[in-house]
Amino acid sequence: MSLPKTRPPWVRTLSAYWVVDGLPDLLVGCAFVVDAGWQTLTTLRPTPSLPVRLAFVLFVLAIAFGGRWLIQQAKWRLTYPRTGYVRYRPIFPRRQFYLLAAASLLFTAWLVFKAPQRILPLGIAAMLTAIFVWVGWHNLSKRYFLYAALAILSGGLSWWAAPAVPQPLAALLQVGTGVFLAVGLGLLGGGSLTLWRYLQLPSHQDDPDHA
Amino acid sequence: MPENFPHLDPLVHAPARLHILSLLAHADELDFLFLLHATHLTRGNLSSHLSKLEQAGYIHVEKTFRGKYPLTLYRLSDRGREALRTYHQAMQSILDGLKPVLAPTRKRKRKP
Repeated sequence: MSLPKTRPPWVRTLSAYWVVDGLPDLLVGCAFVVDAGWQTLTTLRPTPSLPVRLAFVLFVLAIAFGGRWLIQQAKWRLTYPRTGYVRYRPIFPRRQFYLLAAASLLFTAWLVFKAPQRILPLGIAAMLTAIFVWVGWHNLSKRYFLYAALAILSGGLSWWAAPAVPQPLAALLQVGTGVFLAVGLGLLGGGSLTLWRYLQLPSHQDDPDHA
Repeated sequence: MPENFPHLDPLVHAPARLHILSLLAHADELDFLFLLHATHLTRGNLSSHLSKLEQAGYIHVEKTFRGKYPLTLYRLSDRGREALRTYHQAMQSILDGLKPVLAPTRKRKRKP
C-alpha cells in the first residue's frame, strides 16, 4: 500500500499561507481551551447563569462562522508584509466536501448515541487526529503530526480513565475535557512558538536583494 | 517551428512566467509580496514578468492600499487560463511522445 501523494512543493507554498505563521493554531487552541473551561464550569456549577451561557454560545458561533475572517484580520495586523496575501479558490469540489461533512456528522452522532460510552473521548480524539494528520500531510508540517500525537495520546488516556460502567453523558464529557484541554494547550504552545519564530525571519521587505 | 511540432506560447514557456501563472491558476487572487516570496525573483524581475503578462491580457491587476501598505493584487484572466490550458495540452503531447524513449531501462541479467 502506498501513501497518498502530497501536493507538489510549489502548490504547498499556496496552502502554507494559512499555517506558516501559527495563527490558526492559536485561534483553534483558544477555542479548545475555552471549551474545556466551559465543560469544567458546567461540572462545578451545573446550571450557569444566562449571560455566561449566552457568552459561550456567541463564542462558539464567532469561531465557527468568523474564524477565517479573524485569522485573516490577524494576518493583516501581525504578519502581513511577510506573508503576502492569498485568496483561495475553493479547496474541495462541493460534493466531496458535503459528503465529508455528512460522514463526520454521522460518525459524531454514532459516537454520542450508539457507541459504547467509554469510547466517546477517544472517538473525538480520533477525529481531531485525522484532521491534524490530513493538514500536516498536505502541508508537510511536522507540528501538526505532534498535535495529532497529542490528541490520540490524550484520547487514549481519557478512555483509560473513563469508568467502565455506563455514566451519564455529562460525566463522560467531563472526562473528554482532558482531550480538549491537552490539545488546546498544545495548539497554543505550538502556535505561539511558530509565530515567534516566523516573526524572527528576515522579511523580503528588508532584503536588499529584493529592493 | 514546423507545423507537426506543438506550438509553445513563449509568454507562458519562460520558467518564471510559468511559475507565476501556475500559482495564479491555483488561487483567486495573489498579491505582489506573496509572488515575491513564492518565486524567489527580485522585485524588478518579477515586475517585468508581470508587466509582460498584463500586456498580453493573461492577468488582471488591481492596485489598492491596505493600511499604510500598497497592495497590488493579481488574478488570472480567462485569456490567461486558456493560454495555460493550451500550453498544458502542447506540453502533454510532447511528453507523451518522449515517454517510450525516456522510460528507465532495465538492465539485462548477464549469463554466467
